[in-house]
Amino acid sequence: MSVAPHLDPVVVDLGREALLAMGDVSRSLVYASFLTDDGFEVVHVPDGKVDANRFASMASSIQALSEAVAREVRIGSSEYVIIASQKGHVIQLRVPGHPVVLGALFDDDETLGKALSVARRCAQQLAASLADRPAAQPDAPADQQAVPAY
Amino acid sequence: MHGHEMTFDPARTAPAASQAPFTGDSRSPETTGITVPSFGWTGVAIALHRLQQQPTSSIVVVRQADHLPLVIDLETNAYWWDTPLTAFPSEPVDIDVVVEPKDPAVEASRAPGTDLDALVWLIGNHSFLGELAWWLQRDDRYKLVRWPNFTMLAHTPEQMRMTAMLGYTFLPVGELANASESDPAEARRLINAFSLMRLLRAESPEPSEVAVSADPVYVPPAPQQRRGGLFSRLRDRLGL
Amino acid sequence: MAEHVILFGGPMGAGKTTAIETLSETEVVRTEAANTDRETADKDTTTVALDYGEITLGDTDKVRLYGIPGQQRFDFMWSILKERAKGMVLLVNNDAADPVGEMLAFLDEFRDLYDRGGVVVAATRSDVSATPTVADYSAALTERRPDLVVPVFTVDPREEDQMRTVLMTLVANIEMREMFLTSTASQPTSAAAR
Repeated sequence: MSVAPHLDPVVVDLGREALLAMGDVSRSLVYASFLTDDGFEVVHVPDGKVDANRFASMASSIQALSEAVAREVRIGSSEYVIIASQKGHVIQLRVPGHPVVLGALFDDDETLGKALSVARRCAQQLAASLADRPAAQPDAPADQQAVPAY
Repeated sequence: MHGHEMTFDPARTAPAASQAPFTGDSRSPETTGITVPSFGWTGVAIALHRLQQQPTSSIVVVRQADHLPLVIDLETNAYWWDTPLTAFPSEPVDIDVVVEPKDPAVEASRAPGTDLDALVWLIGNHSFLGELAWWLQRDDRYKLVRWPNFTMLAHTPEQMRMTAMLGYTFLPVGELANASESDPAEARRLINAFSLMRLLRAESPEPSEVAVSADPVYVPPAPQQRRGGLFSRLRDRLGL
Repeated sequence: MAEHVILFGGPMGAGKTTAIETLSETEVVRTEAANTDRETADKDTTTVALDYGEITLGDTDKVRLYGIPGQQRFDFMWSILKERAKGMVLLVNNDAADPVGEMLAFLDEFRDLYDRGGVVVAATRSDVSATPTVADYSAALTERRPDLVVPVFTVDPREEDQMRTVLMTLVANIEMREMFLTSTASQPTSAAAR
C-alpha cells in the first residue's frame, strides 16, 4: 500500500465490511477495530463503545510488545494475543501480509475458541479483499486509483 | 586611540575596589592597550573578569611560548587559537596578557571564532593555584544559575557531583568540598571556573555565620570507604 | 536485586532509541513499527510501546533504561512507566520547529519527575541547528520554575561519552537531592550574580 492504510478510503471500506461480517456471525462481539502498526485507527464498529483512537494506540503497543517477547524467546512470530479478563477478552492478530492489526473485544457469552476463530476469519477476509484489489499507481491519491472492470 | 593602565598587587588575597590599579610586567604592548601581569592563566582570568565587570569593546590577547596568540572576545563569546583545547597548556610559559581595543578593520575580516565556554572552563580551572579567585569570598554561598554544557567540557566525576550540589542549593566552598568529599582546592577551582563562566549566584553570610577556622585538611577516603550510592557504582561500572 | 528505572522521553525523532542503544550493555529490545505519520517526523519507523536496555551493576543492582514513545497517543505508556522511574532523560531535537515548546510540554506530562529534580534535558542535532542554545532552554526552564536548576546539554545520542555524561548527571542530581533532603541543610534565598 503506497498510502497509509488509515488514510486509504478503499482499505477503510473493505475493513468495515470485514468487521460487520464478523459481527454477523458472533453475537458476543462488543467492539472491533483495524489499526495500523503504529497505532492509527483504520476503521471500527460500532461507534460509542470504546475510545477508538486510544484503543488503536494501546493495541499497537500490545502487538509490538507481544512480537518482541516472541522474538526474544525465539518461538517464531506472534500469531495472536489474548487478554482474558473477568467480563470478556480482547483478541489481536495481524492481517496477513499487511501492516494492519485486528483488535476485537468479545464479552463472555461466547467461548474463547469461537471468538478466536471468527477473528481469524475476519483478518483473512480483509487480507483477501486487499489482495483482490487492483495495484495502486505509485504516488497516486486513493480517489484516482484504477477501478477494476468486472 | 587611548588606553589606561591598571596595576595589580599580587600579594592581595581579597578583592579590592574595582578601580584598584595593578602593575603589569615590563613589556609594553605595541598598541595602547592594557598589560596584565603574567601569573599563568591567573592573569588571563583576571583580565576576563575585569572586562566582564566593566565591558569595553576590547579583546584579550594571550601570547605564550610555543603557541600562536590566543584572541578572546567576550562581546561575541568567541575565541581564536590554533592550539586545540586537548593540548591546553596547564602551565603556560612566558605568558603575556594584553587587553586591546578592538580594531574594526581587523574584526570585520576575522573569521567566526569558537564558542568560548570550553576555553573559559579550562582557564578557570587552571587559575589562582587552587585558591579562590580574588573577586570571590570564602564565606559566601554559591549556587548555579544554570549547568555548564558538560558534554562539551572535559570534567571529572567529582566535578559533576559538586556541580549537582551547586545546582540544588547555596553552599560555601568549604561545605561544598566536605559534602562531596572532595579536595577543597578542587572545589575552589570549580567555583572559580563557574564564576568566570558567569554561571554562579552568590550570597553573603550574616556576620555571625562567618567561619573562623580554615578549610579542613583533605584526606581522600580509602577505596573501601567510598560511597556506595548509585553514582559511585555506576561510575565504577562505566570505568569513569 | 534493586532496580533503577531511567526513562528516555521526548518527541518523536529526538533520538531516544539511539540513546538507549548507545548506553545499554545488552541488545536493546525494540518495539518499532512502520511510521505512517511522515508529517510529524520523516523517519521510517517509530517506537510504539517501549525500548528496553540495561546496565548491570554487580550482583545487586540493575539500571533499566526505558525509551517511551514520543507521540501523545501513547501517553498510557508514559503513565505506566513513570510510576516506576527514578528519573528521565528528556531528548529534544534542536532541528524541530519548536523544541523549547516541546520540552516544556513533556515536562508538564512528567511533572512529578520534574518537581523532584529527576530530569536532564539533552538537545540533539545541535550540529544541524545551532539554536536554541543551551542558554535558551535553560532560560525557558528557569522562567517556568525559578527554584529548579535543570541540567541542559547538547548531545549526539550515538556518542557513548556524551550519553554517559547525561546519565551520570541525572544520577548525580537525583542522589544530591536525596542527600540534602535527608540532611538538615536549608536553602537560603538567592542574591545577585557575582
